[in-house]
Amino acid sequence: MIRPLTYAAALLAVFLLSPACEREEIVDDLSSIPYDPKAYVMPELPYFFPEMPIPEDNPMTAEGVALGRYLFYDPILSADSSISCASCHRIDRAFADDQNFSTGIGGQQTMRNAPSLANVGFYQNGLFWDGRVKTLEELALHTIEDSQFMAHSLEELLEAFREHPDYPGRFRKAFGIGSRKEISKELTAKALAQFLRTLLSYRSKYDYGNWDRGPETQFFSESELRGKILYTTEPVIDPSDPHPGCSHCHHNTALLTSNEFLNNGLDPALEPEDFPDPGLGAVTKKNIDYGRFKVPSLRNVERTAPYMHDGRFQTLEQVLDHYSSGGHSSYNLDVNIMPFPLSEQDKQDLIAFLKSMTDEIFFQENSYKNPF
Amino acid sequence: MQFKVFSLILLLSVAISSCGDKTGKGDLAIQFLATYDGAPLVMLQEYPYNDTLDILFQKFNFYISNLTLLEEGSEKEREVLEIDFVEFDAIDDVAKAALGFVVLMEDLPAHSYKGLNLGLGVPAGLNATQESDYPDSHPLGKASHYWSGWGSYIFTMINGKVDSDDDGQFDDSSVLYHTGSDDSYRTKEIAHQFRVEEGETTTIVLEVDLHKLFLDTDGVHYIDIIANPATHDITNKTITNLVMDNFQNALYVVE
Repeated sequence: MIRPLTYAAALLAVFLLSPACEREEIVDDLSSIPYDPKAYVMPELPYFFPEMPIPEDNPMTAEGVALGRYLFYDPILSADSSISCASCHRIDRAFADDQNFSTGIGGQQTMRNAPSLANVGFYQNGLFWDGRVKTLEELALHTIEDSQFMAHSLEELLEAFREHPDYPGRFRKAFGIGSRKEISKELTAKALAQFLRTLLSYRSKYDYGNWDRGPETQFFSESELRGKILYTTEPVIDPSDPHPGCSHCHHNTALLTSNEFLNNGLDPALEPEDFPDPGLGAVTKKNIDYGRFKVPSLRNVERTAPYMHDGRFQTLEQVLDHYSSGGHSSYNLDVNIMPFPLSEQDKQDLIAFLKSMTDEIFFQENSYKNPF
Repeated sequence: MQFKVFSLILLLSVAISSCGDKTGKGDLAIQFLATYDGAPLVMLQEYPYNDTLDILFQKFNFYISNLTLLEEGSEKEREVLEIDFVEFDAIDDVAKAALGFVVLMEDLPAHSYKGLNLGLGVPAGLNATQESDYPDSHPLGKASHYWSGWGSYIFTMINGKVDSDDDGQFDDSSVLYHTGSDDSYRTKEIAHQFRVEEGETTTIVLEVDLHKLFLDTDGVHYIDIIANPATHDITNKTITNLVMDNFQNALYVVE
């Protein structure tokens, strides 16, 4: 017969031990999980693409890219677990957003429209519309921490990873960590950056037609070819014969951007403080940089509406009307922004050429899609 | 035998320790300053172009290449730099203009030199490449400075805006003087006595007067930038070549 005191002691022991048993389920040591990373094999890009800069301390592995892909699509990155990177960078929009101003946590509106991430791995001259960070690793952490975007404390996020049933193993497979404690913000950034570097768009009609050494008519329609001439035409010697000359800034190269920060005349400004959004000026604090924004690539531009940093234009027609007007006057309006005549036919032709930059295969790429 | 082994170890030690040794070496800094009629060049600042026009600039940058030092006491030229990019685009006040843009060459032999040679633009061999051949961080990896229409890098880029009606608004015309193509490449020899001292950085100051790049063929008047606002015509490189000729003459050492 069990005495009441013994019975109570046994119950107490069970009570005290049970949470301890639950704690034991989280094994800190990860060394039993195999660590055998395989080098990530980038697709062979056409000859006219530059070499992508890969940081020496973040070589790409299949496991690192896989982890980055999970992180990209996981709302665990945001403070209230409401949004993931993919909430604003949607694959059906070439990893851009369809909102004028993208939505951060708690439904708050951010300052800007999320730009496309296609080929983002090639850019080193400042990322975000205002060039606030230089590397994809910095970009990843900035997006997680910034109060406008995901507003998540990195320490809290790392704790969530460490207690997660799946991520510790994935970090182990990607980076060879020995324990959950070794999950760090640096590794989180590296994984996300690795995935972002895989987002490659290079299979549009523009690519085949513009760079193939065969006859252009093999690829382009008559309208597209007329548009291409408007896009790239030189000379522009006679000021009475101005032309669109889109390629001055959206270069007729693989990346379709000069990768610069310029003021394209969206707002009138006599002084720096007149700009509703300071752009690069908020980063550099230089007067000449106010109202300047990153020149975006025009790859997949057909699918990345709305346009400009604030998404003010819903259609490509509106964009062309803006440039044709010469934009608003301001003290640092870029010299390339000048009025030019644009007939309805010109507009249709230019848009036809712009649409040739759509890479349909990019949108179907399984390795870019949500893994959950 | 023991002595031989000891000697070998000693030699190896000396060889290993001399890796990265800077003995007998110094650095050379070339400080480029940009002026406009002798005044510091500041972006977005107004300058008189001629009797009727005012101008401001948004960009002034150029490539330098094949920089060699002429050794004192011999005919030997020491190549110290293949290519670099000099830009004044971010200079927005006089203080920054006074600092200019510095190109630093490290670990050059300490020696006396009587001058230097440099190329203005991108030499033909490199100009046959294109920006996609280089990473973004390389001077030749700048998408903004490869002009596919010409199959050439943009050797010098001068972007400005003009006020021709004296209303204080620089919205009357743009100036886009971009030079390029192999026949626009120029070289400049600068006689200047200097010495690279061991363990020190020697500085040479080179100044370029931007206004002089616009001199017309008579060397007195300035190019009509209203009639010729841009130099993008691949079939007509008259102004392109004139600007590069002027560049040769507008670059000099500040003693």
